[in-house]
This record gives sequence, C-alpha cells and structure tokens, in this order.
Amino acid sequence: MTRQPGPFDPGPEGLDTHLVLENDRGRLSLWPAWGAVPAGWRAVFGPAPHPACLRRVARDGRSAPR
Amino acid sequence: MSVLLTENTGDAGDAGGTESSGDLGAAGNTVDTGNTGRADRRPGSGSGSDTDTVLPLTAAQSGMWFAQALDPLSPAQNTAECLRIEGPLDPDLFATALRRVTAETDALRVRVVDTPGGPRQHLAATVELPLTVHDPGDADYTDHTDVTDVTDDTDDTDDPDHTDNTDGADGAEARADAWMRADLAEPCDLAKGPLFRHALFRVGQDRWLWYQRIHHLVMDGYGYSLLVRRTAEIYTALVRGEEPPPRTFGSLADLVAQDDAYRSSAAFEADRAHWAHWAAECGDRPEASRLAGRGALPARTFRRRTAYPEPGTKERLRAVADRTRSTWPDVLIAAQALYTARATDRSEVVLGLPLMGRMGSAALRVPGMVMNVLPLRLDLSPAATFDELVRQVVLRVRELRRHQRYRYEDIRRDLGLLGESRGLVGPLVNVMPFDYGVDFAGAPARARNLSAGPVEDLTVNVYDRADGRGLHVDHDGNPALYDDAELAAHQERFLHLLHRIAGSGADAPLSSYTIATPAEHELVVDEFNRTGRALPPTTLVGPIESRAALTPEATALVYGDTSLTYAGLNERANRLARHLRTLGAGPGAVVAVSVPRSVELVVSLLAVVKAGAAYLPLDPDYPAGRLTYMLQDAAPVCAVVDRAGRLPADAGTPLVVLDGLDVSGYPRIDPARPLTRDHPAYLIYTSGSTGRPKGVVVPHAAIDNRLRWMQDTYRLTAGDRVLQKTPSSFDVSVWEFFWPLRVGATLVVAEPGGHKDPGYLARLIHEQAVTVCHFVPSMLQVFLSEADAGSCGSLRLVFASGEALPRETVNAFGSALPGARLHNLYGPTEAAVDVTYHACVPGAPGPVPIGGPVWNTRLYVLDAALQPCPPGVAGELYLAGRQLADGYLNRPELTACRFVADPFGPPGGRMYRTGDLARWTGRGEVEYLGRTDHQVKLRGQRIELGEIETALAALDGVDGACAVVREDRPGEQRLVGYVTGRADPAALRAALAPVLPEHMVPSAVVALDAFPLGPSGKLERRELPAPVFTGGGGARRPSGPREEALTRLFAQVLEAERVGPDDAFFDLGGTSLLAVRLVARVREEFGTELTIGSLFEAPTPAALAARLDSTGPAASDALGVVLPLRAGGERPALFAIHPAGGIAWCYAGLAARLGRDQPVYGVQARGLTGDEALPRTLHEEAADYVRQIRAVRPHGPYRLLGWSVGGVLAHTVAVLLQEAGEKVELLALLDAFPAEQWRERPAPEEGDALTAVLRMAGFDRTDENTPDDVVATLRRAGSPLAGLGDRTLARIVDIVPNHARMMREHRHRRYEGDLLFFTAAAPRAEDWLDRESWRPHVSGRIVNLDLDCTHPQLLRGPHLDDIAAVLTARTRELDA
Repeated sequence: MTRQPGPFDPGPEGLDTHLVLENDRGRLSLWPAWGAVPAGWRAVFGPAPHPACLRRVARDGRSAPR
Repeated sequence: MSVLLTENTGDAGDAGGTESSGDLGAAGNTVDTGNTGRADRRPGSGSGSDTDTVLPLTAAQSGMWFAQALDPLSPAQNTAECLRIEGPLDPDLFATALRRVTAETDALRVRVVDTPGGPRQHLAATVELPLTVHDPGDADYTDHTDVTDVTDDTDDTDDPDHTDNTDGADGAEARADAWMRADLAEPCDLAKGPLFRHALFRVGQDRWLWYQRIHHLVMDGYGYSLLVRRTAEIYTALVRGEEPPPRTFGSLADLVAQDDAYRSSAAFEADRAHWAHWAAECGDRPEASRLAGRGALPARTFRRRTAYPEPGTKERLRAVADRTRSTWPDVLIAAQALYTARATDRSEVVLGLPLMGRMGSAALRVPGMVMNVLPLRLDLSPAATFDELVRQVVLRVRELRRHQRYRYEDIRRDLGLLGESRGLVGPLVNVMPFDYGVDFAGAPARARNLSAGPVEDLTVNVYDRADGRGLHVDHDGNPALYDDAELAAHQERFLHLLHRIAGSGADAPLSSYTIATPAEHELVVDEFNRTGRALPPTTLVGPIESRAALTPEATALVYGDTSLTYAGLNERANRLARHLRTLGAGPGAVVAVSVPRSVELVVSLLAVVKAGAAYLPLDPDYPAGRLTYMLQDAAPVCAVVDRAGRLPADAGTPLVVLDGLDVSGYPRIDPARPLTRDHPAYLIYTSGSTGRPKGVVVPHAAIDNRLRWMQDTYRLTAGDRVLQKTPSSFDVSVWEFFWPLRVGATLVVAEPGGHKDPGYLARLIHEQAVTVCHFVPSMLQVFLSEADAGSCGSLRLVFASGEALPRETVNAFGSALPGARLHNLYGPTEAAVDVTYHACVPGAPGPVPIGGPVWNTRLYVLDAALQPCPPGVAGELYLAGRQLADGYLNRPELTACRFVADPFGPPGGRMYRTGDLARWTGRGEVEYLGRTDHQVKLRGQRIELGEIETALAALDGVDGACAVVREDRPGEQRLVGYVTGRADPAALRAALAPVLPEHMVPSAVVALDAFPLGPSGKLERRELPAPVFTGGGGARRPSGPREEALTRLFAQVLEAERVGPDDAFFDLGGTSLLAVRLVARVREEFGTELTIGSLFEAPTPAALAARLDSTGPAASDALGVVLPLRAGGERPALFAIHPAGGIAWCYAGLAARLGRDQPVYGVQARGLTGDEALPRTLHEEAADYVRQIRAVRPHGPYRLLGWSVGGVLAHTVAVLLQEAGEKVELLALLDAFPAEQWRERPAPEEGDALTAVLRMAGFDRTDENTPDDVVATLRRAGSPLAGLGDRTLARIVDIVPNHARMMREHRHRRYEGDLLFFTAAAPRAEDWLDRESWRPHVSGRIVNLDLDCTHPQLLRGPHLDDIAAVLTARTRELDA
C-alpha cells in the first residue's frame, strides 16, 4: 500500500477532481475540489479534471514570472 | 456411541457444603464420537482425576495457546473483571453460586497440556473453587468515598496501571485493588490449572468487589457476560430461597464439535476463498496500519488510559447512525478509521475488528473462547463524506461477519505472515455493548474491565454498560510502542474527533476534519510559526553599498594572493554594472554569469545586482546543450563570461567578455536604479522531472529577509572570514557571496574545483584563518575523516545543508572541532536558500532536526486532506512567508501546482509544496523524514530522477529507462541507470555526458532484459540489481611497480573486478567521495600528495603512475644494479642496498617520504637480468657496489642504508669506502645483524629463498612451496614484485641462498663512525638477535629507534613515516 496521490496530483482519469483558484494579484493556484477555498482566493475554473485545470492555467499569462 | 459426561461438583471450596446439581440438562452434553474418537474417557495425566475428559483445542483456543507459548511466563492472557456490588451480600451463598456456575461451565474446569500430538485440554469433572474472600465483618471501613458517590473514576485521568480505581493511598478499595493487580500479573500454569480465580472483597459496610480472572484461552468477553448473568441469577435465587432457573449452558465438547464441523465444511472453504480474495485486493502486500510507525511483539503488560466522552455523545453518535442507517459502533469504527488514516498518512487503513465468532443460537449459549479478530480494510479519500465512510463500514462489516468464523491466524498463515511482528491489523476497535444490568438479590452491580487480553498494538475498547454513565473508553497500548504521552494524545484526539463528528452534518467531507486537537492546531499553525518581524525595506545590494561607504579600506575579498578592499571591489563592480546597463540590464532583466570562481566572479555577480538585474549563474562545466537551453529559456539581455568561448553561441546571447574588457571610462560610483524588493534578485535552475531544468525566480524581498535573519542569528563581524567554495549555480552560494559583504567581513574565495578536495580546503581554512564556512553533510563527513580538520581551529561557525545531516557526523564534528558550532539548515531553492535552522548539539540523541522557521516564515506539516498534523504525526512539509520565490520562469502550470494557496496565513497568501515528508516535534522543531516522490539529493545536489530517465530514454537503442540512487555500501551513494533495449550501457554513459551535468551522469548504466514489476504491474525499484563494476580486465598488464600498485589500489577502493591500468576511475563507479579515499590510500602507500584534481585529469592507473614521479625509473631499468628511486635533488645521495632477494624496490616508499630534494639510489644485485655469475663473497659483492656507487657519485661524503642483508652489505660498503679514503657520514641499518649472529644457524634452502622473496614484498610465508606459489601470492596481493617474470624469480631463488652463505662466511672490519639503527621490536622467533653485536664493528655510538612491528613490516606505510622522519632529521643535521 503506497502513499495515495496527493491533493495536487492528477486524480482518476476523467473525474472532476480539481479547481483553479485566483487571488487579488492574479496568481493562480491548483486546488483539490474537495478542499475549502482559502480566504483571499476564489475559484475561477472547475471542478474539472486535472489536465483541464492545467490547460486553463497555461492559457493565463500572469501566473508565472516571464 | 455416545458418551455422557458426568457432572459432579463434589466437595469444593473453603466454605459451605456440597451441592450436587444432578441436572445434566439436555442433549448439549452428548458428544458424537463417530469420527475419530477424539473425545474419550482416558484418564487425565498429571494431577487430574480419573474422570478427566480429554479434548483437542478449538482453532480459537489453539491460537491463544500458541500465542502463550511464545512467552510462557507472560501474564498478558489473563483477562479479568471487577464488579462493584452495592448492597448487602452473603459471601457463603455467593460462593455456592460460584460453585454451581463452575459446575455448569466446562471451560472453567479445563487445564491444557502439551503432548507430542499437540495441546490437549483436560476437562475435569470437578475443580476446587479458587475463591478468596476478604471480609473484615462489621469493621469500621475507613474509605473516604460516599456510598452514593458513583464518580470515583475521575474523568480523563492518566491511568498508568490497569485499573482506574482511585481511593487514595489507603482504604479497603486500594488494598483490594493492589491484590487484584498482583493476581493479574501472575502467569498461569496452563498445564496445572485452574485457569480462573475469584475474589470477593468487602470494602464497605454494604459494598463488595467481586473479582473474576480467567485465562483467555478458555473464555472471551461474551463468555464473561454469560457467567456474570448466571452467577447473579443463581445467587439471587439462593438468597430468595428459590430454585435457580435451569442451566442452559452448552458444553465444551459441543464447542469442539462445532468447530471441527465448521472446519471440514464447505463454508470453511468458502470463507477461505473469501479471505484470499480480500487479500488479493489489497494490492501488493496487505499492510497493517501502524500508528507507532512500527510493530512489536505483544508485551507482558499494557498501558491503559481511560476516558469518558461527554454526556450525550452516544446519543449524538446514534443520530449520525440513524442518518446513515448504521449503528453507533459503526460510527465509532469510522471515526477510528479516519483517525488512523490521517495519523499514518495513508488512504487505506486496516483495522482489527473483534467479533464474537458465534453464529447460531447454540453458539450463543456456551461460555468459552470463540472470539476472533478480523481485518477490516477501509478506503478513505478526502473527497468522500463522513457519512459515505460510515456506509462503507456497514457494508464491509456485514461482509466480514458472513465469514467471521475463519480465524485471523488462518488468514495470516495463508498469506505467509505467521512470523512475529508481521501482523495484519492495526488498531483494534472493540465496542462492547454487553448488558451488564445485573443485580444480586437487589444489589446493583457495575462492571469494570481490568484486562481484555494481550495488546499487540493499540486497542480501543468502548463500553456502554447501560448503567447510566454513558460511554467508557479504554485505550490500551503496547508499552513497547506507546509511552504515556503518546497514548494520551491518541485518546484525546480521538475524543475530539468524535465530538466534531457528532456535531457535523451529513455532507461534511472527510477533508474538513483534522485529527489535531484545538490546542495542537493552535500550536503547529500559530505558536510554532510566530516569526513575524518588521524589517527595513532593503534589497540584496543596498546594504553592500552602504557597507562599502562605511569601511572602504577593509578587505572585502581574498583569492590566492590577490585581495580587494571594499572600495576596490565596489568601484570595479560599479563600472561593470554601468556597462551592463548600456546593454539593457536593469530591474526585471536577467544577466547570465558564467565565470569560474575568482575575483572576477564576485565582481560580476555584484555588478549584475548593482545594475538592478537578476543574475543567472551558469556553471561553466555544464554540457553545451544544457547551457544553450537555459540561455534560450531565460533570455538574458547579455551574459558575462571570463573569456570568449566560455558559452555556446547558438543561443544568440550577447556576451560581455571580461578578458580584455575596459570599463575604466565609467564612473565608479554606485549606479542609480529603480529597483524594488519585488524585482528578481537571481534566477537559479534546478533539475526538472520531465527532462528539462526549471528556473526559480527569487525576489529581493525574499533573499533580503534571509540574510537579515542570518546576520541577526549568527552575528558576523568585520573580523570574520567567510569561505566562498560553493558553485554559484547552487543557491547556498548566495549567502556565501553576499552575507559577508553586507557586514564588512572578508570573503575568502577558494580556487575552482577546490570544493571537491577536502585536503585543499583544510589547508586553505588554516592558512586564511577562515571563521565561517558551509558543507554539504556528506562532504563534511569526508572532511572530518580524511582531511586535517583539527588544523581548522579558526572556524567558529559551520553550516550544513543540502542533505539530511546524520547524527554521527554531528558527533564527529564535536570531537574534531570543539571550538566551532555546527548549524543544520534546510530549504529548497524555491524559498530563498534556507527556511529552517537548528543548532546541533554533539552527543544529543535521535535524528538531527531541521529546526524551526526563520523570520517571516511559516512551516506547515499537512496531511492528505491539507489539514495540519499534530506534533509527532508525519505529513508533507509546506512553506509559506516572505521567502517564497515568485515561481518558475515560463512555467505557469508547474508554478500553479507547487506554489498553491495558503489556507492558514494572511488572505491570498501562497505556500510552497516541498514534497518532503516531515513532522513537528513537541518543541517546535521539524524533523525531516524523506521524500514523497522521485527527487533525490546526491551529495547535496538536487536531482529529479525523471530528468535522467528522460535523457536516457531519448538515446538510440533505449526502450525504457529508470534511475535510482543506491547505497550498496553504507555511506556510499551512487546514481545508477537501468535500461532495456539493445543499446550498449557503456556507450550510453558516454552519450549522457554532453547532455547532463556531471553530477547527474550515473556512475553506471545497467542493461536489463526487462524491468522487475510488482504484482500490480508497477516498477519495483527495490528489485533492481546492484551494478557490478568491472574494468577492462587483461587488456594489458601493468608495467612497473607504480602502475601495478595503483591498479591494485583502484580495485580495492572501488571494489571492482578485473581492473586494468587503463581503466578510468569514474568509469569503474568512482565518485568524488571515493576519489578522496583513493587519494588517501595513495598517500599512505607512496608518501606522495596526489590531489583530487590530478585524479580528474589523469583518471587511470597508468596516467597517474606517470604523473606521480616523473623522475621515476623506466620499466626497463627497474632491475639494473643502480636503480634511481629519486634522481633529482640537491643533497648528497642516499644509497640503499638491496635485501636478500637482490631487489631494491622496497625502498620506493622511503624515497618518496624523504622529499624532493633528497636523491635516493637503490643498489641491486647483479644477475637479476643477465647470466652473470653470482659473487662468491660479500666482500666481492660490496667491492662491486663501491664501484657502481662511485660511478654515480665519485666522492663522498656518502650516505648508506640497508635493510636485512642490505644492512650488512651497507656496513661492508661503508668500510670499503673508508678504506679507500672516502668519508661516510651516514650509515643506517634497518634491523640488520652481523655475520656472527647467523653463523651458527643452518644453511638456508629454497624454502628460505621463497620466504625471502615474500618478505621483500612485506609478507610472511605461509604455504607457498614453489616459486609459482610465491608469484601467485604476490599477484593476489597486487605486489609489484609479482611482475618480476619467471626468469628473474628463478635468479632470486639462487641469489637468496647465495647471500645467506656469504653472510655466514663473512668477517666484518670496523666502521669508523656512528651507526643509526632501526629495530623491528615486535616479538620474534629469532630472539637472539641483538644490535649490540655490532659493537666490535663500529667505532662510534649505536643510535637506535624501536619500531613496534615485525621485520617484514618495517618498510610498510606507518613505520616508514617514522624512519623517514629520523633520517630526515639526521640528514638535515649533516647538511647544516
């Protein structure tokens, strides 16, 4: 019995396991769908499968330094 | 044939008359013995009566038997209960009732005897009632508790012993309690019996305690309830003068028969299949959930902690049960499952569920041992709700009940887990709603369990006595696994969890629960993280400029012979910064820097940050492809290099080439720049798991926080000298470069590559009086053991980071450098170097923590539901606070996955997911426990194994690839790659070198036919084979003594086979740490100081041999009469004359130790190569040598030395030289004795010649009988003499006896001068040898040094050091 996939790892294929959160500074964060959204963040995408959430993040230009 | 068991209670007990029940009841007493006559009326053995019935044990009983047999003296299987009876009691009638119950209960009248055929239970017709009554009569009972006080069990008290009886130190109850505990601690003699005991204590006028203790082999908890009820029933009837209701208990024989019937039935097979299927679904291997992190054997005792959940808890749990169509025990089990999952960091738990094991009404009537513990596996995912978990419990328990007769021991045996601590279940949850609402002729009774049997791990016993007191929870723990505090913590958290569950709604996701108590939550989230500190808003570079203005003349840096003041450094950097600005450097821009360690490197880095840009350090040794990739990814405005050609051109980055650059036209003052703390300060790349490195962008605010904290904590002063040795591409270097410059200290810059050479570092630290430095723990260990760490007394602060710091290294540090303090730091590149710190204490126990958080930083240890773990529970480490990097350059997805929202800090904050496993200690420090993924640290450097695997898989001919770090020898880690496919592994290694940085190229690549897979089809990294390092083998044999010796050393240090002289060190699995070891061996053997750098440049034995001494003899001269062991040097040559075998190679080590300016010539025997006749006398031989010596050195003064026969020859040569008018100023004899000492001994034969040859090589002869044997021994030992060749060896075999003969016939003349003598002073067979025998042949003194070794050992390593020291001192005197 190994450690399970973590909260930020992909879940079973096709299931809506994750959210994309955004804060006031425009940063994005992946988040597990079962988790309460922390203060100062709001869900802007999902619940959706992990790959879909990543695509959403990739589309947004502001989440990583360039 | 049916057998009737007679029931006869006889005269038993200490009071009252006999009672005969006479009523045998119904068919329950008959046993059908149609099958094998197992039940019979054989007389019992031992002390039993003739009417003993012998039965086999049931499977349940066998389980208990074997458990007891593991530790026969353990009392753990005593179970016991105490009933408190409030009211008058007649002890005689009570005894009578007990006797009747005993008569009705077969199980109580049993003893168990071992036989060759297995254990058997002997059922006696009658037993004496073991009852003790303590009745002081109508005495005054000085107990302090109110008769109506029912709360003498205080809530939540710690209960280190098995009882929670509290009546103060004195009083009848306390005495009773002590008696009960003592009885419980007595082991049972199963063969003797009785296996039960009763006691009755009067502890108040109308208050009694009834103690009942029964061995678990014969009774389980349900059985107790039957017994208690029946006893109360009979007693009550007796008191009322009525006839008790008829007996209903079934017989033991019934039980045995039922068990046997089951085990030969189809149901048994079906059950077995069910459990096999269950096990298969567990995945690779079913694993018990271990709250303590490990298992243990059941102990002889247990720790118990009792608690009472608040009133109404059961009702609220029942409400949850109603909602979920379950029972409140199911809810309790679900709660325990949730607790266990979080506390063990697993999504699957296996609890132990005790079951009655009784199916059918007949089974419910037999007091006996039937119960079973079965594994209950539950899956918990944070997404599920608690209600869903309860439904899962219901369904799985239902399924489990259908197969509950299949024993736990059977399942373990089927799975091959019958070994000792290979348990299958974790915590047990034992909910006992047995109704004990009994009374004894109107006196109510309350039961309290004293022991429920052995506790292998943790058992949670929950009682609902239906006595109006609500739930009673006992946490019983194995003392080997839980101390009091841990057990208390588990219980408290469990109760808090129950409370929360009881108050939550149906759709509360499991993720919303934390197992930490509110106090623990506050501790780990807030209190341990109170690190807020207001800081001035500076950047990385601002304080450096302020400092330069303050102390311009102070020394800023030192590199070799160069030094630079603060003013000088600042001005040079300013000019370069201004130049960089013209190229676009500024806030938000990146400037790459690829300059080897030097003054220019420091100037360049400082210039970049002064311009306001972020620096990107590029290690010049990286493969070109990697450098190009980083340049393209980071798109710096320019790259600063020391010389053209340093970086590949294909990225198109404009270069700033320092060599030849003239920036003198720029002003030297600090440039203005619109730099803010949010701007990036540096960009450092780390290994990426998908094959590409990723750049971490760290802003000024983050690194400034780090450096300010560091200064406040460790207080550098202007007098400190900080060593800069870490490559600039590792973020540890950031504080090395910038911290000292901010406070006016001096930066001592090591030379390029120096960080790999502990000997160089020790010298540098010593010479430059370095006070502060950093080591990666594995390098620190090497430094402490291989370098002269003791000479580094100037050190006051040493920082370790990058890897786990072993406790042994801390202790070694404390011994080697007692004046310095060692600090353990931890932090990823993503959090501005380090975020935790711990001051190491040598000799402290346990693992070295990584410590507590630095300023404005928070650490969270979170479980799989992102809830905080309480102290002691492992989870994943997340970091928050000011030191977080901005993210990964150009990698939005990766950034969003690793820098995630922080639920515990200020709104909108982020936390970084480290992937490290960790836990809090109770004192606010964190302990590192390992990784959750495939990132590794190898000698402090971070490597994503995925990056190596991707690189391997991309090569031609490779189908699949994986990489692991192996530690096949303790303390030595190696990176090994495995591939499938047709590619040649050696070629693959070579193909990786241009792609991966050197530290990521595997030491070996192993080709496999297929990867080992586990049952689930996943790669089993554990099963990957260890690589075997072999060299090119016999491509060619070593030529010459040095090559042979070095080849041997390579093979030894690397533990490799078939090493040849042209095999490269690193191809044979060498690592930089093994390189240090090789260098040490070379130093020991040859006396020369080989540097690590030379090994990198000349990595084969042949190349190294050529390097070691360029004035060494060519192979062909090795057997000439005069052998230049060291031809160079200014001082008068030393001539060393061969020992008995005629070869002078043995003096090579001595020559090496005497220094470069002392020429040494070996004088060797004639006839080794040619066919010359051997000399007839020593005189003749010596005269020949005189001629040879004078050919090299025509006139004196002469210095002569000889070992063994060589010493005798040296004396003779000295005499001859003197007689020829020459001066001999040094005559040194190594354990050589004059002719008289040998004359009386028999002449040597060939055997002695062989001995002599072996002794020449430094060995004693053991079983070598022929020259071939000798050669074989020499070859095995790697001696250079093995390469002698048969011819030469044959000559030696003649030369040796010739010398022996000549020696006996020799007459010494006198030498005019002192004799310098070295004695091999270890005890030896030739005990007559005495250096004083030289007295007649020497005019001067005999100056002696004793060496504690044997004759052959004189010329080996450590003793040579001593000899060389004395010789050197003497020759210096002569030179002066």
